[in-house]
Amino acid sequence: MKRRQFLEKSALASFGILSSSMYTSAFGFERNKDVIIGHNSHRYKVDMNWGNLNPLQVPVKDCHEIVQDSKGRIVMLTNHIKNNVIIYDKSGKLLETWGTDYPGGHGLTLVKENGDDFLLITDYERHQIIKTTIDGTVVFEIDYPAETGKYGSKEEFKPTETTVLENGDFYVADGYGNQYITHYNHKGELLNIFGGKGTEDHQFLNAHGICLDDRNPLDPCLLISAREQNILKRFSLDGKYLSSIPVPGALICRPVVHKKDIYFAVLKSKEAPKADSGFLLIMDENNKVVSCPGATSPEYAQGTLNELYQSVRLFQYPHDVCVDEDDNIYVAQWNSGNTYPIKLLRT
Amino acid sequence: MLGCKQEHHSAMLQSQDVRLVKPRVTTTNQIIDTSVILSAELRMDGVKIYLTSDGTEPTDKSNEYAQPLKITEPGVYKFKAFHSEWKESETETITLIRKGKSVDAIIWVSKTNSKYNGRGVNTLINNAKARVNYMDPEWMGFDSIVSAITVFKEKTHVKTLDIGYLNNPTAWIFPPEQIQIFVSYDGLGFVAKEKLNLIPLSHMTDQRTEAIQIPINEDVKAIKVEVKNVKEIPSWHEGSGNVAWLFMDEWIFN
Repeated sequence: MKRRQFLEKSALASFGILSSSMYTSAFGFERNKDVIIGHNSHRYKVDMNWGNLNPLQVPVKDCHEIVQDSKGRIVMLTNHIKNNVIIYDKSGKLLETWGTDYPGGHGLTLVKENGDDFLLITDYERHQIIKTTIDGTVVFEIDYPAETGKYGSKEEFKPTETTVLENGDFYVADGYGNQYITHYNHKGELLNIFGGKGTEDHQFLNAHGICLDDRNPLDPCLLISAREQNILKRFSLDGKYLSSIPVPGALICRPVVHKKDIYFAVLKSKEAPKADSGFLLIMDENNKVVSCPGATSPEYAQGTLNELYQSVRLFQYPHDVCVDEDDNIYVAQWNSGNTYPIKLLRT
Repeated sequence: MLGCKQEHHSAMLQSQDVRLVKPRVTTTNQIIDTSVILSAELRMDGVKIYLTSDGTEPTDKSNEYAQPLKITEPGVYKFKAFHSEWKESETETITLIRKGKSVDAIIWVSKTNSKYNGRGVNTLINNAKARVNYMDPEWMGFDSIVSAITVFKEKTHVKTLDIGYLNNPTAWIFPPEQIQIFVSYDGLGFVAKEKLNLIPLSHMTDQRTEAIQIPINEDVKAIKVEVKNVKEIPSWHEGSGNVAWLFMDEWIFN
C-alpha cells in the first residue's frame, strides 16, 4: 500500500471512531460503559481478554474444563496435543504448560491427597481415565470397566467427567459412551456401577458431568447432569436415584459446587436459532436458579422454572466454569474458534 | 485534541460491543383460518422490541411491540430487539399464511424413518406448522424419498402448493434436492406436472423452517408429491458424502 493511501485509510478510521462516540439516537444508546451480565445476587463484568496467548506458541482447540489448584492457579485442559494443560495465574498470565498425550482430553478434576495436588483427566479418545501429578507425571490409567459386562469394547467407553470424595473414592461419568456412572476406590478398583442409557429416573442421556455435593456435610450426594434432557439429577453416594431438578432450555455441562451455590456452563439451547446459544447458570443453596449470565432472567411460576435462553451473543458453547475464592468465574468454551477462557468479575 | 473528552479505557466488555439475540416470536398457528395470536419476547430488563408488517426492516422508530397481536391477514411480520447497552438484534421474520384447501386423505407411498413419525399419517395436512426444533412432532423425518398422494373429496382448483421443510445443517438436515409433482384429474392416472431442482446448500446456516411454493393452476382430484433428499452431503460439511436427513412440514394447497 502506498503511504498516501494508508494515510487516507487511517484518517477515515479515526473519523469513524469519533463519530461513533458522538452517536446519538432517539433510543439513547450508551457507549464506553462496562456492561454487566447476570441477575439478582450474581452479576458480573466481562473480561474477554483474560488469558489470551499467542496461538502459534500456546494453541488451544476446544477448551474443555478448568479448575483452580491449591496454590490458587487456574488449570485448563484443552484437546490440543501441543499443550493439553495450560496453567495461568488469576490475572491471566501464563505460568506453565504440559501434556501432549490427551487427544480427547475432556474431564479435569483436582484431587488433594496429603497436601499434594493431583489431577484426574478423562480422555474420550483414549477411552481412559488418567491420574497425574499437578505437573503431569502419570500416576495411573484406568481402562473401560470390562468386568461389569456393560461394555462390549473399549470404544463404548467415552468418559467425560470425574468427581472425588474426601476418602479418595472417585466416580466417573461416561457421558459420551454407554452412560454409566462407575465408582472406584482411591486405588482405582471398581466398587459400583449404576445409571446407563435411557430416560428413566435412574438413567441418563448424556451424563456429561458429575460433582460431589457436600454443602450439607451430614448428607452428601452426587449431582449428575443429564445434559441432553436439560435435567440435573441427584444420587446417593451408593448410586440410588434421589431427585431431579429440571432446567428447561439449558444443556448443562458439569455442576461446580462453590460455597453455597452450584455453577454451570450451559453449552446451548435446542430451540435457539443459532446453534452456539450458550450461557451460564447459577443455583442457590436451595437448588433454585438465581442467575443466568448471558441469558434471560430465571423466573418460577408455581414452582416451575420458565424456559431459559441466550439473550446476548456473548458466549459460544461454554463448556465449563471455575469459580475462585473471590467468586470470579473463568469460562472455558468448546468449538468457539480456538478462543482462550473468558473471566467474569463479580460485582 | 481540543474539545475531545478523555477516552475511557477499560479492559472490560463495553456497551454496544455485543449483539442481542433475536426476539422469540411465536404464533398460535402459522396458518390463518380466521385469526391467530402473534407474540414476541426477549426476557431481559431494558429490552424494547419493534416490528413492521410492510416488509421493511424494523428500526427504533417503527411500531413498538407491547402485547400479543391478533392477526387476521396473511403477511410478513418482522421483529427486532433494541437495548441501550447492547447492539440491536438481527431481524426475526415470520410469515403467516392463509389456510389451504382441505385434503380428504393422504396415501403414503414411502415411509418416514421410524424415529420421526410425527403425529402419524396426517401430520402434513393437519393445519399445524412445526417449530424449528426437529423433535417437534409436527415434523416427519425421512432418510430417503418422500412420496405420497393427496386426494381431494371432489375435483378442486389448486393454484399453488406450499411444501414446508427444515433447514438445519448442524443436525445434518438439509433442504430437499428435488421436488416432483404429478396431478390426477380422475384420481386414477397421474401426469407429471412440475420438476424442481433446489439449489444445494453451500455453507452452514442457522436452523430455520422454510417453504417452497410450486405453481399448479389446475382442477385436480389428486396430487402426488415426490421429494428427494440430498444423496451426498457436500464436501464443506462434516457429514460429507453421507445421506442427509429430510424433514417435512405442512403441505398447503392454495
